[in-house]
Amino acid sequence: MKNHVLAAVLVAILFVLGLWATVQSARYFSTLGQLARLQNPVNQVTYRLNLAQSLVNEAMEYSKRNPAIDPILISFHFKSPPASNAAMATSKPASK
Amino acid sequence: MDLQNSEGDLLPSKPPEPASPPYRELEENIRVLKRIIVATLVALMFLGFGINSYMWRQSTMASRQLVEAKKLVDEYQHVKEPMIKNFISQLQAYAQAHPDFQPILSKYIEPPAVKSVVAPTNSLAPRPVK
Repeated sequence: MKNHVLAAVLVAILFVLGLWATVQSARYFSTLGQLARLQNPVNQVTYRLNLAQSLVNEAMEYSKRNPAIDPILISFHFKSPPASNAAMATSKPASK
Repeated sequence: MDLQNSEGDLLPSKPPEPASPPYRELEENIRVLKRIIVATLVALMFLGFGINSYMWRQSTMASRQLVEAKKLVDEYQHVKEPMIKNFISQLQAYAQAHPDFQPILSKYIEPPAVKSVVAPTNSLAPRPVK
């Protein structure tokens, strides 16, 4: 009798575990499918961000030769404002 | 006719002696089988716990990756892409005034007819570098 109860409890636990595994695998495969669908946009985004970064790098290189592009780079925070402005800003309170 | 006596010959009222050797052997076999079944169920239970914890971990990792990927695409579409477009339009305006910048820009800007996969824009696409 004791063995029957133990076996029944074990079978019940196994049944619950089987259900849980089924739910988990359904969730896992659904997530994998969504990930696969999103892979192409993610690759495109990464590719475009890398391109934008290299454009910024080239613009920064160009700004060494022609500082006229600096206002654009500064407005997008790719380059810090000129040191003279910053120095003036810090020296004013000090002179008071 | 004594029916009780005649049936009594066919269906003996007494069960076989438990102590008889074949019965004892059968009982022992059943006991061993029950132990084997319980042991198998316990082993299966541990296996089930292992499989479930592995599946749960994989599923959680995949969900986290999915959230990150969605966040990346959303952030690009709503924040970075407008900023990149704005930056490019300013660079294009600059390149009109400074033609020496045009070769740098033309390496990255594709003709407006080509559509993007992520969003229908014409922001960035390199020309093949020779």
